[in-house]
Amino acid sequence: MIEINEETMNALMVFAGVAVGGGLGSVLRMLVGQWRGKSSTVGILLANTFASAIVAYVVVWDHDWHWAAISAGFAGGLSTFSTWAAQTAELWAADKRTDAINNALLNLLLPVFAVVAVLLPRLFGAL
Amino acid sequence: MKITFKTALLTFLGGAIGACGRFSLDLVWDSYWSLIVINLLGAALLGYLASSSRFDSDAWRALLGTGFAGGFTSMSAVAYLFVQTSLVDATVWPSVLLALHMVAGVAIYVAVKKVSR
Repeated sequence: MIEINEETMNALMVFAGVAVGGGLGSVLRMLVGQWRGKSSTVGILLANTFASAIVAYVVVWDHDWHWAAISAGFAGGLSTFSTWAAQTAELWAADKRTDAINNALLNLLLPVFAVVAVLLPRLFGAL
Repeated sequence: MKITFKTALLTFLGGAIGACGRFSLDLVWDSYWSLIVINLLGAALLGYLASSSRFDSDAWRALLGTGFAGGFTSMSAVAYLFVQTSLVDATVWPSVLLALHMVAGVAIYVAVKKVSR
């Protein structure tokens, strides 16, 4: 019989938190990632940027046990690399080259800016 | 894809499994490299789903595409790890790695989509 001690229980709780967070983040991304039945690049960009701010926020301010559920779970589930790659490739294939390059660059720049903005007080030693 | 209770539930399930998979790999392996492999695998899976007829339904797309591939891959981790490595390594390498990561993601989506047609 498997003995469930406190450590195992804590690990299970962390994984359960990541699962629930990842599920909720993914459903939220599903809702904002579409506009009138079509895959929305703006929605995915917003999801990726917001999720990046959450990850940076958790790193600086939240060191409680639920950090994994919010950061690896919710923010990880909300943000996506695969859909971004698909949208960028489809824009390029549809000869919307400028839109494809803009989509690629914005999904690099805005999430990185979001992280830096949230980390700024920590970077300048204010915290 | 139509947003219904069923597709939302399948997205939740796929996202939960994907997030746990990413979290597990991150625990047992280097964060940045595991994330790159995860993101490329996720992009490949979407490329496959885009052209294969085997999983051509809203339910499969919700579970495997929006849910699993979306929850497995992460852009927030890319942004955070990029800033973190840039703070430690003040050379061009973090930026080069980031650019290669992004280009490889789009390339693998296109390649797998073409091959699995």
